[in-house]
Amino acid sequence: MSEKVTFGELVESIAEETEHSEQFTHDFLKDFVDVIHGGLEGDGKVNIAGFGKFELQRVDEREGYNPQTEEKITIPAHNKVVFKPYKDLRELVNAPYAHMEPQLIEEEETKTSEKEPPSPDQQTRDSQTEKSGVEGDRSTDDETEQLKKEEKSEPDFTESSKEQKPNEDDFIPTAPPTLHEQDSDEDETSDKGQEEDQKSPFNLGEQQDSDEDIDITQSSSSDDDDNGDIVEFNATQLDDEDDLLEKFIGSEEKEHQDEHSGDLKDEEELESEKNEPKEIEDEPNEVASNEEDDKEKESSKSEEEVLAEEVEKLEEAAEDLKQDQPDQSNQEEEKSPLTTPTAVSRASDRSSSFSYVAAAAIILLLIAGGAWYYSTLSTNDTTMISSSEEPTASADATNQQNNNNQQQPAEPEEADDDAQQAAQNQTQSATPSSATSQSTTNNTANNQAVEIQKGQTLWSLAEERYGNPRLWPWIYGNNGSLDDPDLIYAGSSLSVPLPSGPQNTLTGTDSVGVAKGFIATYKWYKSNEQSKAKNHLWAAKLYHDDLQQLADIPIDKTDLSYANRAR
Amino acid sequence: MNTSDVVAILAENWDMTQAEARELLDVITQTFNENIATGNSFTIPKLGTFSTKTRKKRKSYNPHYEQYMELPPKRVVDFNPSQGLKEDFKQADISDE
Repeated sequence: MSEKVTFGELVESIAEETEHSEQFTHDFLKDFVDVIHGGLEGDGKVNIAGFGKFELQRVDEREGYNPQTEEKITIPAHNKVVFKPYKDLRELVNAPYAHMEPQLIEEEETKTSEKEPPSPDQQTRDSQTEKSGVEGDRSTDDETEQLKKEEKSEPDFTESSKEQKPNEDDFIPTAPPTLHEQDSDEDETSDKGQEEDQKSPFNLGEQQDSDEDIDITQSSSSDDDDNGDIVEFNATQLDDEDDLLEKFIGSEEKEHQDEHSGDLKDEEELESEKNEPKEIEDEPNEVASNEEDDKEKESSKSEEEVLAEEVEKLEEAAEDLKQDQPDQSNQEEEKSPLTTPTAVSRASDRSSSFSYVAAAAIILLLIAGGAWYYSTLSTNDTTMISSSEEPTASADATNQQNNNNQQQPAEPEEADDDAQQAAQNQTQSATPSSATSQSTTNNTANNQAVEIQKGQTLWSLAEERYGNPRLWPWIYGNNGSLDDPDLIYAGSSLSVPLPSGPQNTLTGTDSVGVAKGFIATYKWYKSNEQSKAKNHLWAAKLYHDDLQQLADIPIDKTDLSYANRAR
Repeated sequence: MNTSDVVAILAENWDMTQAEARELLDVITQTFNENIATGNSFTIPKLGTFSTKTRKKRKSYNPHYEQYMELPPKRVVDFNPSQGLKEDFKQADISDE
């Protein structure tokens, strides 16, 4: 990259391209500079299309000082030569950052000052808190520990609660933020209502804290309440809160659910839920399935790459599964009443033969690829019970992921009557995994169907979608039906690939797609408009190194050497 | 002075058609563009040095909406006129501007 190119090298490359002698090119360039000089003398500006504009700019007289002698001097009015690059060049140069957009910054100060309407309630609380400050702090610390414990233990618990109280969970993520706020406020107050008699100073203190949090992070949902509390206790500095909040955002949802489930439990068991046997039983189960979920996500990424090679393997495996599963479901029926032992044994089994489970998960996902086209069955009755045998265990994991994804009120533990489903093993294993594969396709091949509006061009589409109009060949390359890249018809539909990286950044596979697009346009221009072709190859080179591998036609050697200069 | 003027002069100086001159000029500017775009810097004698520099990301404030924005980093073309060119035009027709 940023290396210095000598004038000689420039002359050489230009001479090579124009098939003139280097001497001629050298002289011609010098003459070109003279012409620019003359133009500047003439009317003070020289416009070179496709490059930029040289211009004289007047600088008024101003005060300056000599940095060596530190004495003030007057810099007389003078002209300076400026170069204003053309838009094309500006965009070309800024290409590395073209995908970045200006972002709004939430300003803390304005927020705290503007968005804090101190309610009378809060003010009284303020004063009370101040009085009982010391005491409140101490109990706050206690609470911090408690909260920390909950934090540690409850992600697992949350998962299990997800299955046990699916309706509630369904409601939580979809409800609007304001509702959340009220909900959690109520929850909190009712929660505290129980403790109030014992720990009133603390309670007031905490209440006030959480109110403050709401003020500071008003735009965020009520999830922040909980986090805010924790943060407050841990850090006790308002300034740190936002940073910490961000860290907690990942666990927000879980904690929110914790709150709900925790509240219910609280009423019955007064915070002894951690010791409750039921949760402990569930925990290993959930941990295991979590791991499996993760594993499965990983495998789903790699799945597409190996898909083609492993199709045959799959089918064999599918048949194996078919044979295996009737037996297992029988076992399930026997074992399912004894939830505790199975859960525990399941966990140990999984950890021991974890790799096999992962392999089975991959297989299931791959089956989904084939089954996806045929299965239109609903996913509601897809619950499968896991047994101690691995293939079904992985199926269970798939199933659970399925439930998690779709937030469906399905309860694997209680779906004992699924024994009949053993007969439909094919569909069973296909449906949950097909749902999973649906999510995978959403993740990886995120194309968007777009109907062309009047006046739209590939260029404008690319600018709209990617913020960089120069990526238009990506769209062209993604639509084999297009012929002339300069000609698209309003009303017809295009499949527009979207960058899969965060914030519109291109991932490796995207870059390959873009390069393919440029090669597609190169091919078209090569056969229709020779002079433009090599530029497209050059651009393709920017996005992928090995062009010959991507192109299905032999690339013209001179074009290739031209393109190779891109890197 | 615009491109066609430049092309006309060059064509006359070098005894070629304007089309040829324009093509040559296109190749030249394109070579320049490519080099700048890849981040290379180069110096044209008696004209100046072309290079790129990166502007850091920065915050800006929109007084109308009272919003702070963070502007992303930006890479821009940097042109430093050669000493001779600077001197040549330092005093040229200041009164006109």
